Amino acid sequence: MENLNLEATKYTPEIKTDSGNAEIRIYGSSYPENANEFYRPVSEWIENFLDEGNHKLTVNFYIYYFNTSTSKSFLNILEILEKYSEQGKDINVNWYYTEDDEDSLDNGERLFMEIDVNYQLIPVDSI
Amino acid sequence: MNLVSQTNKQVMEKTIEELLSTDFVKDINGNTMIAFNGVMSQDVIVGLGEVLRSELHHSHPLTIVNRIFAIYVEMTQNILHYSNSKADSNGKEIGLGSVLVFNTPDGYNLVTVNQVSEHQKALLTKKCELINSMNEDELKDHYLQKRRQSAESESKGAGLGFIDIARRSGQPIVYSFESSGDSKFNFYLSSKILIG
Repeated sequence: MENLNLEATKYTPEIKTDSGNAEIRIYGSSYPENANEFYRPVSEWIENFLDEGNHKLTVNFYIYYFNTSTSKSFLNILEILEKYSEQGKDINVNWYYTEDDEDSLDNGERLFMEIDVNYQLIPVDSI
Repeated sequence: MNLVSQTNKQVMEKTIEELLSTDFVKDINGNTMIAFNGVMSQDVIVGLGEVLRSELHHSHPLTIVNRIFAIYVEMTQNILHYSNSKADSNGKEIGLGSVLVFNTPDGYNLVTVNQVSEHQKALLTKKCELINSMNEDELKDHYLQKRRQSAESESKGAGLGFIDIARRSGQPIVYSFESSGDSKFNFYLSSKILIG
């Protein structure tokens, strides 16, 4: 299956999907003008990948800043992952946060509130 | 609270000097770091945001830089999406308005000004008053409730911006309306970040 390969800009993260290793990496800062539109290909890729009979997917978020409209898009992605997780697929989400920013953990934790998906919050030196 | 306007001008017709000399802004009593009035495009938001980040980075830890930057983005993108006066850019509508950033004796103050309709004025007043009446826990519940609602809507924003501004600043949202004629108002919004 064809992978997504988006380079980072000042206000959108790098997004790379790796169908071979069943992984997605989202890396950078996110405050696009229209987050819905920007993240739609990611949601679609996830749905296509898991509908094609793949049983496992790991999503890695390394995000040092995201605006509220991005949080809505991330929530949408997590809800999709939650749906497949409930169907018995092996879904894992890793949220990397930096202790350089005292709010970083809280910002990540808030995102996963009320979401039933296997996730880990992982501290790193810097993002 | 309504400001008494002698000019009855809408934001876009005002000069930066006129904006800086309104009572709402004069009360802030700070040094101007950024002052912009015009088409609040994504490019402008990103460009001024870079300036703001690098200025703050000289003298503050990342936590403070990110808090102020996050508030800046929510306030300016509100103008981009919801200002009542808009510019047309290749068939796309972009909100007009002003952003002012001040360095004050006790921290920073961000101010945005944009035109709103009478209907928007009523909604904004309700929204800001509700948020200002809440403590930290109530704000968190309100955030979750709004998030559930917004998950079903197709709007560009998440409707969570004001909650995020209040949470990150830890201070009440200060706002005011000034009539600009024709049942339109200039909406002044201020968020304060205390440091030290």
